[in-house]
Amino acid sequence: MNRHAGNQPNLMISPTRLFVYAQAFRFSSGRGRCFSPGLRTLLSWYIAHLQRIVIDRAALKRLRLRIERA
Amino acid sequence: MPDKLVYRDWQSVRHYLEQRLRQRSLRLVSLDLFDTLLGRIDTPEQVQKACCRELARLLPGAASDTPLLTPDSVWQARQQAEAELRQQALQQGLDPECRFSDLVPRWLEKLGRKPEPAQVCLCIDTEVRLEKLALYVKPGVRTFLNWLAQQGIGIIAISDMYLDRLLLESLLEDKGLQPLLEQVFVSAERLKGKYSGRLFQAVMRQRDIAPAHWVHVGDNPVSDRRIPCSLGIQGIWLYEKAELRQREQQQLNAAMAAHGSIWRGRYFFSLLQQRLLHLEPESDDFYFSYGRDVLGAAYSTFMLGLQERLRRQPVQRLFFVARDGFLFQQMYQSLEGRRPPDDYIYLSRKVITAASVADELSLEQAQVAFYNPKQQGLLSICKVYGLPENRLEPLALQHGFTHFDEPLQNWQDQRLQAFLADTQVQAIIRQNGRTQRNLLETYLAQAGFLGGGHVGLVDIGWNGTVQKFLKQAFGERADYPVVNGYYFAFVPKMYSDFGSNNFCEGIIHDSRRDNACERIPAEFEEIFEQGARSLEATTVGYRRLEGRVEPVLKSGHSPDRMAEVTCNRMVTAMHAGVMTHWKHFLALRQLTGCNSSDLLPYVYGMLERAVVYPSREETRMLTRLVHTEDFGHDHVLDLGRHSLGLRDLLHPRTLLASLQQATWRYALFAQLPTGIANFALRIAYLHAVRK
Repeated sequence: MNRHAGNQPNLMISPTRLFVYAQAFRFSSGRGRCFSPGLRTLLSWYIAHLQRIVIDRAALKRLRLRIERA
Repeated sequence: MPDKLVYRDWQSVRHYLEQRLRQRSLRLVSLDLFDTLLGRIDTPEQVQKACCRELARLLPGAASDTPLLTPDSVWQARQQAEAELRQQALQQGLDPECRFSDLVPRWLEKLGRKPEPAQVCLCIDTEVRLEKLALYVKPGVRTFLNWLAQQGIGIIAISDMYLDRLLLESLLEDKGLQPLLEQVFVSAERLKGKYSGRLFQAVMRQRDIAPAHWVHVGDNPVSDRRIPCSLGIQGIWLYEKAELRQREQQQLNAAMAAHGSIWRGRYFFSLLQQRLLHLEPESDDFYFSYGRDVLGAAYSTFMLGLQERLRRQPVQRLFFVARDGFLFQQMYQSLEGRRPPDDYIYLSRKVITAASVADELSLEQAQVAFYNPKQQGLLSICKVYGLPENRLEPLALQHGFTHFDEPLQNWQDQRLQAFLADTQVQAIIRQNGRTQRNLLETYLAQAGFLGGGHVGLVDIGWNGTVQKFLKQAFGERADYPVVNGYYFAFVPKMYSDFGSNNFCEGIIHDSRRDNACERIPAEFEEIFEQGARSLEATTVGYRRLEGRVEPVLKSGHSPDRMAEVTCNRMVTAMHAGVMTHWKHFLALRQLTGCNSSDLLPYVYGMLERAVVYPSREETRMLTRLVHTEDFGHDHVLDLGRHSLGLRDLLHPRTLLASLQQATWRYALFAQLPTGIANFALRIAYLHAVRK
């Protein structure tokens, strides 16, 4: 049996990583847009991610629980 | 009023229920369904939109003055019908709920269709089918329910849902939960919801149960905890943080998909990952995982592209070419619905080339043998074209060759030209070529290729040699079919003219599209061939047997075949991984309606990661595979076991030579930390190929 370290399915690649990979095409042939997520879209993705982290909905739910108990 | 309880997993819920059972104060447990017992790989809105997309395609046309259905118009009609029904329920003094069996006829009317039973059934079946694809039983649920079923108390499900009870029960049946639940109560049935407390009151009356003996569990803090608690029922809020995070992530992925580019593919594969996580057992086999996660994505997208092309331009028969067409045929055969008949056809470059010299061997044809980095001049020509070395070697000596296996770096070598101009040489070649050609011709007619009308050829790639030589050898026959060659990657470096009615297309990569990003499969062709190949040996010829022509496969005693057999277990594991991916890919294709062009940008990104930036484990395991070729040679290709170290960077010439000779050049840097070396090599290589 060939043991595999990460046995869970892994089909996801971070958009940042793809953006970096695509730069190799930008620096050479200039035709790197096919798997580049696009800088603006990447930024909007980051903002949405940050919102998820900063506005911790779980914490809000816990707060709601406390208020309800009080 | 009961305590407002919150538990984070099923184990904690079970501990609480055990206490209540010991106190003998528990007679009924009710459970919420969606996001409590059943998880979703996609949001309800996306599933409903998928249903609208399907119905826009499936609903038969109405009168000529009715506007054509689009997914958006079907969606808008549904929203209107649903809003009206909810408003109507509210006016009747009920909760703003609606029932799917009432919704569908009104929906059809808004689409300008008569709500005939067949169309109503189509709508309901489509919605339920897609819901089944999107739902899975959450981890820990089965164990919990099995335990609960043994406690001798009532177990029911209560859900705020627009689907009718019978439809909900069919969903539960599909997921294997129905036998564990005594009854299902759904807001759609009475138009009373949990959130108003009316559904709980209705259940209380029907089951004649005291609230003090009833515990309800669900994921919504209001309708599953606060409301039942206010009625004296012990409500438990099942708060699973990871599940919530996943739902938020799903919503984000779905929203980002609207941006196109990689985002649509990323959304698709995030759903696929959820399905694999929840519906497939874990595997610790590297090759299975590689097939499932890397090759599966590429091959499935290729097969989707193939389906799209076959829909646009139907063929009468589809031939999957040995040996790399093997897995594609398996994938094709698992498709549902009507499709052209298919066959597996035993061809190899060796048998094709052997037949192609029935008239003569030209210099251009001879040069084909030199595309191999380990070419051995005239010996390679003999191997590639299946020519008798013993008869040609003495003639070669007359033209100045001292060693028959001497590599020919100059492809215009004067000795070679003289050798090919020799009538004795050409006579031997012709005699051999005609025998091979007759056998091949009989085999092709027997397989239904000749006389096939309009056929498709499916293969991994790369130069389209088989297709080119078939046309060259038999193109003059009146029954030679129109051929559409569909390749995983098509890189016609050797030939440009394929003749009339002989079309070729690379679905994942076609070098004629001149897109640098998509040429990634050509950077490591061998892994894509290995992942798709069948387990049998390559075809080296044909023989007549009991009135038929049968393929002759390479001997199991040849060194390359023996090495190959040792890798068959790995290849089988990769196949299993790919087929697992394909099964879920097809399900998601129905759910998302994605086409191959939606997925390709992300797939190129996945392949770029896998080929250019492999992990150490990937490098170590994949270079264990033995690669052979079907051009007549017996040697195996080293896939690059020898990695370079930092010290090698100090010797640029050696480094350059290693890079030029490597089959998988990016694997050479596997031992270097970070991917910077691979990134630099990628830039340098892209510069070089551009020139």
